[in-house]
Amino acid sequence: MLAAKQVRSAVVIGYMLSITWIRRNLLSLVWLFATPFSILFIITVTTRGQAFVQGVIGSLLLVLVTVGTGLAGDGAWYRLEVKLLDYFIASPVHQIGFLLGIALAGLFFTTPALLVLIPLLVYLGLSLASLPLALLAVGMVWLFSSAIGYTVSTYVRNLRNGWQSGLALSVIVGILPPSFYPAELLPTNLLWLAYLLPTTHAVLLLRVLMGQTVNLSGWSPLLGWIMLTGLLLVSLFATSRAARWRQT
Amino acid sequence: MAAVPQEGNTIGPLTPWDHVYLALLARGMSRTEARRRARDTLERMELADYQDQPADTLSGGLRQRIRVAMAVATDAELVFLDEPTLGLDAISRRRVWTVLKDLCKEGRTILLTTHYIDEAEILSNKVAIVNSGRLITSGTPSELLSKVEERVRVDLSGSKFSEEEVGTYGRPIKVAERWRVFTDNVRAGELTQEAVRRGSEVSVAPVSLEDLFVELVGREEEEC
Repeated sequence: MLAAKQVRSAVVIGYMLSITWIRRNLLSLVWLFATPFSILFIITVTTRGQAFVQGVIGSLLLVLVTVGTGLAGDGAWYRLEVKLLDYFIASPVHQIGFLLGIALAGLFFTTPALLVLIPLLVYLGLSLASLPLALLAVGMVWLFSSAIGYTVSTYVRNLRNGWQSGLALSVIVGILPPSFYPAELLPTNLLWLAYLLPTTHAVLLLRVLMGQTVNLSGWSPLLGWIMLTGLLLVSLFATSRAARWRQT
Repeated sequence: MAAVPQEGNTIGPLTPWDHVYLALLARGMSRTEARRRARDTLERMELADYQDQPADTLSGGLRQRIRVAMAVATDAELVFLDEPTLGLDAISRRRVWTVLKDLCKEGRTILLTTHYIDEAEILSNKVAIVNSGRLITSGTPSELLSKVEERVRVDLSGSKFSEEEVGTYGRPIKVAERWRVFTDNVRAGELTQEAVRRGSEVSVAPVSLEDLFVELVGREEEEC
């Protein structure tokens, strides 16, 4: 019952901070399209279309990572400028409901991009039977990024640091891992570092789900799911312990 | 509990209706109840005429009233308001005061922090004066006022009286270029007559909580 109430609160907060906003300000959709589709365009042109599939996977993940880590800035804005955090702290809404709410708001902002990229993946070879697993993998990356972004937002002291932290995190989680290029090209020691990020496993899992071969010794889809789940759980645990709520 | 934090802002292009109605839904209220309360509160706060306008096109005073409305519209038994009238013009402040008084009549408890002492005096059943995080005194406004020995204060333009002269009528302090003399009713009358005779500007008023605040906090800071 309590969980259901929190989910309802989260959906309303998500709606309040995204759909309502978008309806009154379409310009806010532009930025989410800009970076991922620019990178997809560059990759497609420079590889003469050969890395298009990899580019679409990378773009999908980058969109979700960007809105997730972007909570470092958005969360700081809600806390420092709007004081929405204080408003909800003094309400029946719990921290997890608030986190889920602002994370959903980010997700709703990505809807137009997702409506382009997901059908594109299906068109490029992702079977409808594999689609739920693919969505689960990218959804876990989104939740991971959101948890990290939100936690950071509860510490930053000014908005500029919030936006900067979000951008830095999106580069680390969304661009540097092998999402826009094949993981096979990474030197072994860097590959081990990349394994510490859920994006790497999500990309590899998506490639497998799309029928591509992944030639990496030591990595398997089972390991990918275990790592993805483990990293998500660690991020959620860290958020539950480290993110500030009622503390000053 | 519901709260209006100090110096916050409204949410970009969301309308007053969006702010109040959706915040109530997020708190777990049913749609029907949220709609009724949002409509009622926007009317009480005189925001109904603006309810469909994006908040970022409204004045600072209207935006502050939206934030107050978000807390007032709830069914919370305890409403915490941190400087709710900061930045509001005199008319808007009185509008907010009326709504807060109505909330008290409904049996809800309001905890209000303010730097406007007149606001505390007008609105509160009980006042606590806090300086640097330390409680100096608390009580009903009349209890607190009884701590001031004098009942009346007389404000005079300064140039026509010396400190020794005004000191014979009561306890004088210099406020900018004016003398403020704390005294009793009889001597206030005598001082006023003398001021009129000399052609000095004069005004008489009962001692207020602000006078007590200045006295207590001033004394605290001197002791520090």
